[in-house]
Amino acid sequence: MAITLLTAIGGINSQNNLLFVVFGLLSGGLLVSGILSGSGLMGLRLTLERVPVATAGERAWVAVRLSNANRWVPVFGLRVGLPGLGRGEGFAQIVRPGEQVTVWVPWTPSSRGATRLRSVRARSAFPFGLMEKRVEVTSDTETHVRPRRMTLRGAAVRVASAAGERPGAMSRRPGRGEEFFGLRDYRPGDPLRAVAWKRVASTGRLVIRQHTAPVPRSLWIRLDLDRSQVSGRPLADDPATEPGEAAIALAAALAREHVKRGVAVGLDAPAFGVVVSPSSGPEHGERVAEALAELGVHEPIRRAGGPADPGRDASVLRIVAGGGGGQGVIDSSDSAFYFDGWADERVAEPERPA
Amino acid sequence: MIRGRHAFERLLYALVLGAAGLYAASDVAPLVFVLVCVFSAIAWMTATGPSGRPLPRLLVNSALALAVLAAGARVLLVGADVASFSRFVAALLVLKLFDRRTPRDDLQVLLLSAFLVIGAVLTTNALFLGIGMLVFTPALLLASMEQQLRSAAWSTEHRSAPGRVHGRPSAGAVMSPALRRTLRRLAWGATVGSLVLAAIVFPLIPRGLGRETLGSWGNPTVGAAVVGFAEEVQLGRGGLISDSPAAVLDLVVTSPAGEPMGGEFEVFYLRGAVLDQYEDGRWTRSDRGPGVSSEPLRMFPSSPPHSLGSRRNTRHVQEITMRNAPGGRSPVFHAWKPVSISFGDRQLLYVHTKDLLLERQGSPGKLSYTVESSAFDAEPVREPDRSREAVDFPSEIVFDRARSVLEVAGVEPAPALRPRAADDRAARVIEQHLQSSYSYTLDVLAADGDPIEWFLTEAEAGHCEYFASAMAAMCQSVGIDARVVTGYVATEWYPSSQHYVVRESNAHAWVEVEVLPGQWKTFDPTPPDDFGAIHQPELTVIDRLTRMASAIEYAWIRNVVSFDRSKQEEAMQGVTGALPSRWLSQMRSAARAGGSELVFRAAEQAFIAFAATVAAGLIVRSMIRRARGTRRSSKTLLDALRRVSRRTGDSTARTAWEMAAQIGSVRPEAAGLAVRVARSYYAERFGGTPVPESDRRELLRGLRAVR
Repeated sequence: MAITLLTAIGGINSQNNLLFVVFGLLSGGLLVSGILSGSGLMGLRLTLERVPVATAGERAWVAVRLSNANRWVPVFGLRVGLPGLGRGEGFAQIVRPGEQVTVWVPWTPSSRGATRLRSVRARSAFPFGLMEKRVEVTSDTETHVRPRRMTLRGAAVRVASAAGERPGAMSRRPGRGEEFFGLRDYRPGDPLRAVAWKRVASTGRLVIRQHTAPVPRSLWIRLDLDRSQVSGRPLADDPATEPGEAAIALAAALAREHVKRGVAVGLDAPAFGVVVSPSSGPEHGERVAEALAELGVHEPIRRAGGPADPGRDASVLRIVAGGGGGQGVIDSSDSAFYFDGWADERVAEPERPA
Repeated sequence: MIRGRHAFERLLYALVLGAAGLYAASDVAPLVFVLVCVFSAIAWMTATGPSGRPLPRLLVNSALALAVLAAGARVLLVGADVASFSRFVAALLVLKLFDRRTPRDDLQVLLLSAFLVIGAVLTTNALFLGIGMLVFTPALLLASMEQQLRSAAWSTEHRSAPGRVHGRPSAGAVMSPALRRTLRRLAWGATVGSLVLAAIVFPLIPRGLGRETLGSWGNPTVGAAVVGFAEEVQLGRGGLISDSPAAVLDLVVTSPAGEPMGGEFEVFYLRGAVLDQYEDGRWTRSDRGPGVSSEPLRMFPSSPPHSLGSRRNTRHVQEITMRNAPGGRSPVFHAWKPVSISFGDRQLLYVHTKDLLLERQGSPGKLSYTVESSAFDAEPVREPDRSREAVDFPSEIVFDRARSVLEVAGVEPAPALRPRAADDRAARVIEQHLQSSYSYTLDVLAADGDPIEWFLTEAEAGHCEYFASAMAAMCQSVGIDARVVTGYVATEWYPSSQHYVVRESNAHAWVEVEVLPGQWKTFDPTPPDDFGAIHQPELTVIDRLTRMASAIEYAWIRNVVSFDRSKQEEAMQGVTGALPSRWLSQMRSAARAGGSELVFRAAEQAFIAFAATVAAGLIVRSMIRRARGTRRSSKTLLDALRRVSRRTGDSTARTAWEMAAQIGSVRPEAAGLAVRVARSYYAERFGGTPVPESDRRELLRGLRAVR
């Protein structure tokens, strides 16, 4: 705009007709720019196609479908974003007339809980960057962001390992338990310390000793939190700033770990009236994660009269926020381990969907 | 290297070379083009190729400092002219090629290329530039569109993955051939659309207002050949002789009623210099006669024609466009006898009253003016018949030759005995004698002794200057006042546009003779056949093509370059009775009548100044906003860190990292937060990665909680 104005001033000052032509071209360019970007965007339709299951602190890809309802005019250089949900944007070079294009918009939620995707916005400064035109449509889609993923380490790992095993129980499959299960021939990669040397000496065959797998049992994860301790605010690097959220993230990590090991995991958060009965399998893991995502946000999934009864064979892992100098505490039966934070290495970045 | 990227690079470099070529051709500065080519080639090999890297900042900044110094030195030596500006832009453009890191740098290359072409436009308005712009514009639009797409892709990528601040665009730069084809079509469409709009805007812009309000920005030429004449003729040298086909001026001749005049066999003599004193083979202007008007006349485009004599017997009107008039004082070419003159631009006019030679002083470049001329014999005799002077030409040989020629023709050679009315016939006899007895040659012959005597007695051959000199000398020797006139002859007639194109090769010398007191008549002693061979040759195929190009060029000059207020009103008369320029013109006339011309002019200048201020303000505001936005927002983080640092007992830490380390050592639980704040601050302040507002609030809230 300023250059066009300067050209006009130059033309008037020097009465240079070719400069007037340049001014005319620039003015025409401004108008053409406005027409091209304006008319293109007028025929653009935006639809929130798919909202992924998002985890706090991790990038997720939201699919936005762009449909060009124009008969003749293509739309170029579209930057698609989610207002109010960070600066991430997806990009579409061109949406031809009548064409539908899916754009993946990166979104990194900073906090756990319910997030409302209120609108989707597409903007374009094409063709010359002289003016930017925008289209924004309301969406009002809600999604629940899972607690931040953390890597267990130190005492938390030991407690977690112990909590999921039933001492003395025999398993019908080999594993990493302590009871003898049987012998089998050595295979490359087996640890040398597992070799049954006496048997090798007597038979001349290289065999190794196998142990039984520990028998999984039920594990209740009990979150002793007040409603006031759950803010839904983003977690800082320092867990002490949001102990309630840190405890929830820890619960999620423990649940994930045990579900992976085949333990039947239950969740009990009395202050929120949330009880998820113990079960195993990936689907159940998702259920627990979903319950943790909604904690303090919605009405409870399953209302119980009081704290869930863990039963005779179940272990209870109690997670307390705000104990031990503001840090999370894992209390497994008679022992209390102070949670010492988590490693900040993330799980591998998810790839942008094809 | 991605294929799409490579194509964009080629386009970008083509634009740079195109812009440099247009400017170099406009300013006749081939060295500029050669240098741009050489440096562009180096930049292509070192900074653009697959393994290319931008030059280190230190080198770029050093080169920039050198360019600024060179430009400053040139301004001091030559002045702040368009050439200084354009060459500085060319230097910046070349430098920028070595320093392209982000799409914004590509945009700057495109802008600098456009500025260089504007420099060319301010230098010349020649047809080649118009054609060049027709090619340059769609290419520029295409490159701008591609750049826009690449920039959007790059910043999307950048926003999605903060931290990758630098580095050339990658994924977003992939452009399919189909998309490129679409863009190409769109660029052509946008060009056509812009041209149509430009064609609508162009005739509507008010003309003649606000000229040079902000000082002179140069007066563009429409040709490379500078028109100029020395105020002397030195016989025996090349002098006016030129076979250059470069066009120097365009002439349209009409009757006072506006009817077109001229034709293939009608020749117009356009006077440039009038020389009446001969000595040692050299014709110069004498101090005889009334001399020059005491004060130069200020001529404005809106001024009425300046009267030089009675306009009752005006025979023809000449509209002349000199394509590249020199700066300073220079002749105003016109046909004898000028009775009025008006200019299309602001000029100082000098009128030599003794021979009605006209000179002007103004900025160099295109010069348009209109001269009305009357027929030589239509002027009534006003001066009394003064007594005949004695023979005054200092050559017996010349006098003898003149006397014998006149005696043979039965004309009395002695001025005292010859009636005044016979002077015309005497001049005609001398003219015919020279035309029939001497041969024409373009060879520059070395005279032995006095050149005129040598021409008349020995060589008996020469070019137009010899013929004109011999005739003027012979006339003067028998008491007839005569003078040598140099200028151009208009012979190249274009029936389609009904105008003449005058070229450097049309330079000529002829004679003006005072046939009656106060009445001067034009004579041309050059043999007509030779004159025709030189100035109206048989046309070859190339000549015909050249003429076609000239016709197009003239249409360009007349309809675009010389489109002024009068043409604007003429063109739009049938369309609308009310034009902005006409309103302004009427307002100006009314203001002049009411004595408030100064107020009107002040209003014009105020408008220009206001628009200039708005434009400058827009540019400055966007620059300040961009700089301040980053600085202000990042400063809040730094200030918050500093407050916490002081709260926790140390005020010696200076940098964000130092403060974060200090906070971490005193409050280990806040170390992570402090480091995050410091990282965000550096990324935003120096890396161009703005911190999202929600993150900023969260960081500041966290810092406030640290005790």
